[in-house]
Amino acid sequence: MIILDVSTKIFTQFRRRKVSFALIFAFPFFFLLIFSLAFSGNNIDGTTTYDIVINNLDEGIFEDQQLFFNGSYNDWKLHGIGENYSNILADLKYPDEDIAVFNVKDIGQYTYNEVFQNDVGVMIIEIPPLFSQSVLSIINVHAEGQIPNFPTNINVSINYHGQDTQEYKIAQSISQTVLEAFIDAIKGDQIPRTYEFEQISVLKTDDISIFDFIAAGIFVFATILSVSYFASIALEEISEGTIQRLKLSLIKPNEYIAGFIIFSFIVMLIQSIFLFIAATVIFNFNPAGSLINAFVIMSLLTITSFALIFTAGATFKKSDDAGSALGFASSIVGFASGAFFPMPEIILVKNVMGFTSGSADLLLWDLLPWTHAVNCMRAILLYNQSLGDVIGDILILIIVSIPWFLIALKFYTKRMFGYQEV
Amino acid sequence: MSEVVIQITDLQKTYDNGFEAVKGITLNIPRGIVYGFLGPNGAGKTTSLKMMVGLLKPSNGQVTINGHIPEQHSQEIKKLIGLIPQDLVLWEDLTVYENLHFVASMYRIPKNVANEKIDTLIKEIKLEEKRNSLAKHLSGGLKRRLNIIMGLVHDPQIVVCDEPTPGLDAQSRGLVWDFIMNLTRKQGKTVILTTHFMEEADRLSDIISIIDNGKVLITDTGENLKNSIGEGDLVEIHLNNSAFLNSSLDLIKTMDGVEDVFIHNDTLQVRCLNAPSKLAVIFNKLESQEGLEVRDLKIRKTTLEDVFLNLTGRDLRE
Repeated sequence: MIILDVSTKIFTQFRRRKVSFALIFAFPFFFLLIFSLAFSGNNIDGTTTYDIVINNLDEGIFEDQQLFFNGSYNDWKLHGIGENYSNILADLKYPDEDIAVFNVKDIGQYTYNEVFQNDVGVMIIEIPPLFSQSVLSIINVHAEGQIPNFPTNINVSINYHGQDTQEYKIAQSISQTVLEAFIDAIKGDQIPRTYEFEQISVLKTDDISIFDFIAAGIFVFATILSVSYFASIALEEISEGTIQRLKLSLIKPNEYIAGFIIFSFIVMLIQSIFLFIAATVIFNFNPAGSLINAFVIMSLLTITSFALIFTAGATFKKSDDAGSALGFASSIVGFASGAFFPMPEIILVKNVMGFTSGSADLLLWDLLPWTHAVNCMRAILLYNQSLGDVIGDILILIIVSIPWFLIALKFYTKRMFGYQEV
Repeated sequence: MSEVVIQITDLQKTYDNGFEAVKGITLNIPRGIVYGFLGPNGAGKTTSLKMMVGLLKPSNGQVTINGHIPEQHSQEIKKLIGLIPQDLVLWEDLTVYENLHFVASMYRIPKNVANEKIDTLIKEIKLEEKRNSLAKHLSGGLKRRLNIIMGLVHDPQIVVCDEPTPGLDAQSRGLVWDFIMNLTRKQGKTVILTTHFMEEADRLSDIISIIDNGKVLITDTGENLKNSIGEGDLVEIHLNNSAFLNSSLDLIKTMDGVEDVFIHNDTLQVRCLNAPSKLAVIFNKLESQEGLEVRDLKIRKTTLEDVFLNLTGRDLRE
């Protein structure tokens, strides 16, 4: 009850301040408006043929599994089902166009780094050794009764490697869409066969405007921007002196902070919903992926926001100082996280971030949790990726934010409810 | 003397920069009275109060409130103490009623009990017509009144008033003084009052401690304090030329029945019993000096201000 009283009190203050609405809703809306006017007509080329390289390590099927396949055992042993997937990608054409989606090349003697250094391809698809067995396992699970000699519980995934470029992200998104269609087709089968997809509905990138690309970043930028406002609220009791009344009352620090978090969390989510609606309804933002998944990312991002809010609350003496400093910092963080435009690559450690949707190298910008939120939002909203596809970025977002949040919370609580500072 | 409600033993506060704000205060504050702390700006009054209520950590010494030590029994002590801070500590974007209700909820007071208490307080401090006004729209005087009752919503037994009336007009000040006196006279609460307004301390306090440079200089009733520097009247004499002040002081000092003579604000101040009967003699003595004329003369009773200035000196502190 006392927690809700705190939330209600802060909300009452919030709704009576015109500046609240300006900072939380009007300001990000204004950004959407400006970028929409500037970029909504600029579409990304929709029928690009992407150079990709396949490293097929598939070990194929075993001799006792051959009865279920058309063709000779030796062919399947040699090439496996990975070869089938590779061929599908090579044959893929854009809908209603006679233009190939991919120009597929073999890895040959290239190392992964040489592929990118020599511009051989924008993406490397690594098909793992047990890919065929994994496909047989899926067939077995969905078959009516178990198929003799077919494995169960083999689950491997195809690895996509690329640099943090838009071409890579689009190529990866299309490849995954094809893979999903391939797996869906397998599930309906009782025995394996060679699959052919001459036409498959894939993302045509001329559906994506530069505004769509930026809008996904602006959703994240809006939360960065609003942090300055929430930080000033977090410090208000100290700068206005009202903390004296709270300290002398029976409220416990965790009750006050829970009340503040509930209020702020709800307003942050309302802000996200408002911006999603405004972008799609007013500014013709055209998300290819799930808005619900994007909303999940925005919800997770609130942990980072609270970490920054409590850091400011533990650091600054006055709410106005916190508001001004974070207002300035938010612009820098917004750009640094790539919310507006891709940032130049400043590599800190090479080839350690392969599990994320961005570059395989650890870039300077990767140290910011917001970078990973931006990656997630673009992957989900523009390239129709699932939460599972961006799990690497989600994990980094959480792993960086939670300890930061807990440490900041501890210092903020001490500042708020400890003995008065002089 | 009635039961002691607050016991302060050798209370000290030294800040990180080495400044000693409070240098060892020992006091026993009885229940059910107004206990005044009188002192110039920077004397250590507010620092002492903040240590008493648990907002500041003492560098040394101990405070016991109703038998509870603040750090060990903070919940019990929080219920006992109400603070009326020197600054206006309000939530400006809440109405009068919302401010009071929020404070009530922070003390976990059931809503029906809070409603009754808040209505009574609003009525007593005459804020009924402003109950739905935002705090930021109130005048300074009304804000000050709201600031006072916000410390009383939870019906504390000990009320700590830190300079409760700065900036108030005469009517509002009278209202607040009556309100504070009623807290002890009618409700039996203990009030600790800090002020540098002599009249306020004199009118309201049953016992006064004069504090300066972080130390208690004297503790007594107002009447005894005034008598302690000499009974009778104070005659303030303005001369035509301040060059005569020192010679006049020497002349009057030797007169019979004169308790004290001193120079303050370019006037000669003479303390004596039954001053009107001695005025003719004083005049004769003064005007025996060639060229001296008495320009103006006032007679008044000895006040607490005289006691205060006598103890704390006449130099500016800030």
